[in-house]
Order: sequence, then structure tokens, then C-alpha cells
Amino acid sequence: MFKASLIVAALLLIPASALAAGTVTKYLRPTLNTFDSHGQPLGPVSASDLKAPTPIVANGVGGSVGIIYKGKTIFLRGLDVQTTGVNVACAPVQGTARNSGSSYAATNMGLGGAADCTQH
Amino acid sequence: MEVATRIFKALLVSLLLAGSAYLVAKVNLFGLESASDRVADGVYQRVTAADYGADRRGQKLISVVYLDETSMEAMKGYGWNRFPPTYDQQWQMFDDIMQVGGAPPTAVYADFVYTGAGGPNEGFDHFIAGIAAATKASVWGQQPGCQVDPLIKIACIEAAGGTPFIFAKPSPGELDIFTDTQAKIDAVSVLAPALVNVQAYPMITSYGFTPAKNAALGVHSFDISPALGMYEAWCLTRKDACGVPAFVLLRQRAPQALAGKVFPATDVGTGFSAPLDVVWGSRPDPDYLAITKAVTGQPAPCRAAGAGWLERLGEQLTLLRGPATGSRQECPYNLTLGYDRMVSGLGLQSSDLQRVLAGKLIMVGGQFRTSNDWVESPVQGQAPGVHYHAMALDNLVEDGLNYRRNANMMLDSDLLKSLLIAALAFCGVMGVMARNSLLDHAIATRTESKLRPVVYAPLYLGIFGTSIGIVAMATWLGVSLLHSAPINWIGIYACVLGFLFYATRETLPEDILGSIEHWRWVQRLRARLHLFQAFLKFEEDRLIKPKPKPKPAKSEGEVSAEAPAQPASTETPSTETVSAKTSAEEPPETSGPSKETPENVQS
Repeated sequence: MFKASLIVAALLLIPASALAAGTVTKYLRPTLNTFDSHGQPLGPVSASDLKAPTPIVANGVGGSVGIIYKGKTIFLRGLDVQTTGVNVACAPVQGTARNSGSSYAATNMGLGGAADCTQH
Repeated sequence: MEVATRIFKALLVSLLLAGSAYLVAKVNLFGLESASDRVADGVYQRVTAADYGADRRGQKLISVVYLDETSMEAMKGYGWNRFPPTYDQQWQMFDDIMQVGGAPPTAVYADFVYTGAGGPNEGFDHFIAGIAAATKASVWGQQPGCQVDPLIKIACIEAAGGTPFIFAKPSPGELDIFTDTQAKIDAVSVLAPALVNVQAYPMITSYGFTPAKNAALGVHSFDISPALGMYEAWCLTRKDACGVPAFVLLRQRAPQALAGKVFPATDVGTGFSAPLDVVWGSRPDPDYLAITKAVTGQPAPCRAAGAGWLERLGEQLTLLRGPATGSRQECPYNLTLGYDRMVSGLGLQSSDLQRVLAGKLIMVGGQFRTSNDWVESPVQGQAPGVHYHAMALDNLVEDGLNYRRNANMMLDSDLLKSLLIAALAFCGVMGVMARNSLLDHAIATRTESKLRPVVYAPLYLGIFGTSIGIVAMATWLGVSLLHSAPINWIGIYACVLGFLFYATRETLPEDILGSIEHWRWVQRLRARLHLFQAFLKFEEDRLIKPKPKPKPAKSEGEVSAEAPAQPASTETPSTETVSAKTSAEEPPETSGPSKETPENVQS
């Protein structure tokens, strides 16, 4: 029974793992805010309660980092963790992709925002 | 005597022209004067933008962290599911700015206005507690000596070991409201007017309120602009206090104020009395370009950094581009990073965040397309308001007390412009008079044909070139030495060159074309020009009736019988019509080149 649940859990995790790669190597704050896959706050978690290194199993909205905690996937801010092996592809933002004729385009140009990046 | 009369006439004409220009400037008909002032300033800035900030001192210090619609969408992944975000979430943002660079910033300006009127203040106490901890408000907050004016408040914060936080507020001169929320924020930080829709960036604003009204509206003696507050915060960390005597004094006073002593309001003297004419730079921050390249793998599609003033002048002349047009736009001058990008960390290294935040002057602001907090940058086009404050701060860091003053706010610049016009017009008239004297002499000695190639071209080149050069020089000197905004050089050029062309409208084409009239293509060109002139006169025959030849006096009845029926409008010719007719019928008295036109030959 235990083995079967492990297999089911592993099968459930495969699609998420396929979307994400890399490892969280360090937690940069003593207490971290956590979120679900939709960005709803799940409350703070102490860094000492989290394993490191731990694989990144998913990426959430806005580039949040998903790890397994107590059998569930929780999402952390990229700012609060140190990672390795994360391949990020950020598209350079062209002027035409934004409103041309204003520095709004230029302000975002090149670097863009989190929405201009994908992780694989 | 004759020479003196001529000089007097020249003086009179030039003063008349200058007087008219002054009147037009003062009347500011349809806002043309102020509009041309702005255009002149804008074009000057675009031409010289690449030369701004050669040592990049301000650029290395100032960073902009922004929120926009894209950021808000991305921040939904972190619980930011309402707008505006809760105070809790906003404090999280400020806390990130304080922490993640590895060292706190030198000072933080938030271009957000908090009035507390928008709904429940979720997490407001947490927000206030966070700000109070960052500014060490527990040390200075109860000391009356630290509340005298915003400058001593910033000095107290630094003396207490805190990081100055400056928040935007509506100008008390425009909005007679000071809410409880603002009062609580004011108790732990500094409030500065947000300066919406200002034409010049004020440094210090005294409202002239009574002490009671000052207290009611949270004004501590006077208000400072956000840029001045941030500049002071930075200068107080420097040994020389940026060479500003008032800052040196503030640094000495702050520990005493923390100890309970109360000093009178800081006297900044005349150093910051004039508003700032914000100068916009164009060369993007090399660090921004490097980070972009590292993150995206491609260079930022910004305009080339090395574009010099000559190239830019050519662009302005040929209308190749205006501000922020074309595929290669101007990137923002100061390093700019979206908060969502910072939070996600995608592609950014910790060294990047250190470069953006640690020890820097951080300007936090929104650049929401749906807000009205946008300003017109002559270099970048429409720019978010926070960049206006960032550039003003950059100007102060670059130039210190020699920042570029807005001349229109300082003195009667119209008078200055009119005097320049008078001087140039006088020189122009003298030049034309010199031309006529030379011609008179040449006719007397029958050497007029030799005049053309040798004298006329250099003469006209001299007249026009000198005028152009003097205006350019006056503009540059005003900016460089007097540290004032560029004069309305476009208006002055239009006035002076228009006058010079008018004064030489007859002689210039004849003199110049006459010099090369033996060339065949010139002869053809002149023939075409005459055809064109004739074409332009298609209505003249109808409008200007030939003057009837004087006849012996007859009875009234006989005259009306002979005269053809006239349209009502031409029965009483105007003075101008008579004048034009006279000049059309009577060729100029000067002999020589001007009489040798094909028309004259034909007639």
C-alpha cells in the first residue's frame, strides 16, 4: 500500500517535474512566505523546516519556485532562495512588443519583466 | 553726420523689433511663446543628451524599482491579488529593497501617495512599524528639534543610524487635506510633495501658511522636493557634504537635535531657491546593458551610447526622429528594474541585486499606463513620473549647486531675449548698410561688377553666420556658465533671421545670383524663378488696380462716367495697396545689379 502511494505520488509529480528543473540550494531568509499554485498565501514557513538541497518540482505564476514540503507542493519567491541548475530563457523585449513612442517601451526594453521569461 | 543718422536709424529699427518681440513674448498669444520655450529647451536637450553625465556619477548611484500592470499580473503568484496591494505587501516590497542587496540603500523615495482613504488599512500598523524600524524613528521621532523642517528630519534619521524614507504627498498648496494616515507616515518618515504637472522642478516650497495651518497640513516650515531630500541624504554620507554649507550645518546640528536641542528652520540660502530645469540624459547605464545581455543573451535594443551631438543635430534638422521613436529607442537613463523581476529572480544574480540596491538611492514608483503620473521627456518621450524625480536627483548628484536653473522662473528672460534680438538686428542692419555703402562706392568708381564675387558672398555669410553663431554661443554660454535653461533660441533665430531675410529680400537674391549669373543653369533658374513669381501674382492684377494717370481736372460727372465699375472692396484702396502699387510702378532708385533683372529689361 505504501509503495503504491509512492508510485501514485511520483506519477503525479512527473508532469510538474517535466516543466521545471534545478535545485534549491539555500534559503536566504529565516522565515519564508509560501504560496499555492495560484498565488494564495499558505503562511510563513521557517527555513529550518525546509530541506536543502531540494529539487524544484514546479514553477508558479510570476516565476515562483515550487518545492515539496510535507508531501505538498508549495511555492516560494525566487528572491528568497538560492538555486542552481535552473535554465531560464528570457525573451528580449522589443519596442514593438510594447507601446511604441513612449519610454514605457524603453523602460521594459531588453530586460522586461518576469512574464518575459520561461523556465525549463 | 550722415553716418550717425544711419546708426541711429539702425538702432531705432532694432529697438523697434526687440520691443515688438518683447511685447509678443509678454502677451504670449495662444501660448506660442511658452510653447516655443519648451520646444527650444527640448530640442537643445535632445541634441546634447548624449553628453550628459560624462562620469556617470548619478547613474551609478540611482536605481528605479517600478510596478506596472505586467508586474502586478506577475505578482499574483505571490498573493498580490488586489490593487492597490495591502500595506503588508507594500512593506514586504520595501523590506526587500532594504534587505536583498546585501546592504541597505542610502535612501528610498516612494512615489506613491498614501492617504488612507481607499479602504481598509490592512497591515497598516505593520507597514508603519517597518518604516519606523528602517528610519530609527524611535530615536528621533519624539525630538521636537528633528521636526522643525524636513531637512533636519533627514539629518536626524541619518544621525540615528536609519535609512531615510521619503514618501510622496499631495502638495498642500493644491490640496487642503492631511489625513490621519499621512500624519502617521509623517511621524516615521519624510513627506515631500509629488509635484504633478510642474513645468520646473522646485527645490524648496514655502507656502506662506500661518503656523497653525502649517501644523494642520503637516508642513514643517517648508517642503522639499523628493530629489532634494534624496540628495541631502546622500550628501550627508559624504565627508564634504557635497560642498553645501547648509548640509554641513545640518550634520553638525543633527546630534544636538537628537539630544533635545531645537534649532530654527534650516536656511538653505540662495543655493536651492531656483527651480531645476531637469536635464535628461540618453546614454543607458552600462550595468543595465550588461544585466540585460546576461539575462536575455542579447544586447538591449537601446539607442547606441556613443551618438554625439553633431549626429543628433543632424537628426533634428532632417526630422529623422523625434523623442522615443523608431526601433531603437532611448532606454531609461537610470538603472530600472521591475519589482516582479526582482521577486522572481529569474536570470538575475545576487550581484545584480547588489548593484541595484546596496547603498543606492532608490526611487520606487509606478508606471501604470492607466495612471496620469507621466511626464514628457524631451529625450525618451512619455516617461513615468518616478523617472522625472530620478533625473532631477541625477542632475543634483552630477552638478550639485550648479544645477541647471529654470531661467523662466528666475528673471525676466523675455527681456534678455529681446536685448539679444536688438543687438543682432542692429548688427544685421549695419551689415546691410555696409553693403549699400560699398555698392554706392563701387557705382561711383564703376567697379560694381567686381563686388559680387569678392564682397557679397562673404558679407552675407558674415551677417547670417554671425547671427547664427551668436545665438548658438549665447545659448551655450547661458547653459554652461550661468547654469540656466537654454534660452528660446528657436524663437530668437526665427525673429532675427526673419528680419534679416526681410531686410535683404531684394538685394540678397540679386547679389548672390548676380555673382554667378554667367552660368547657364543660373540663367535658367532665374527664368524659372520669374515664372514662379509671375504665377504667384495671379491674383495681384485683380486686387491692385493700376493707378489712373492724372488727367486735367474735370467735372465730377465726367470722371464717374469714364471710370469702370469697381468692386466694392477695391473702391477705397488701403494704404498697403497704394504702397505696393507705388513700389511696383516705381523701380528702386539704386542703379546697378538690382536693375538688371529680366523684368526690367523686358519693360
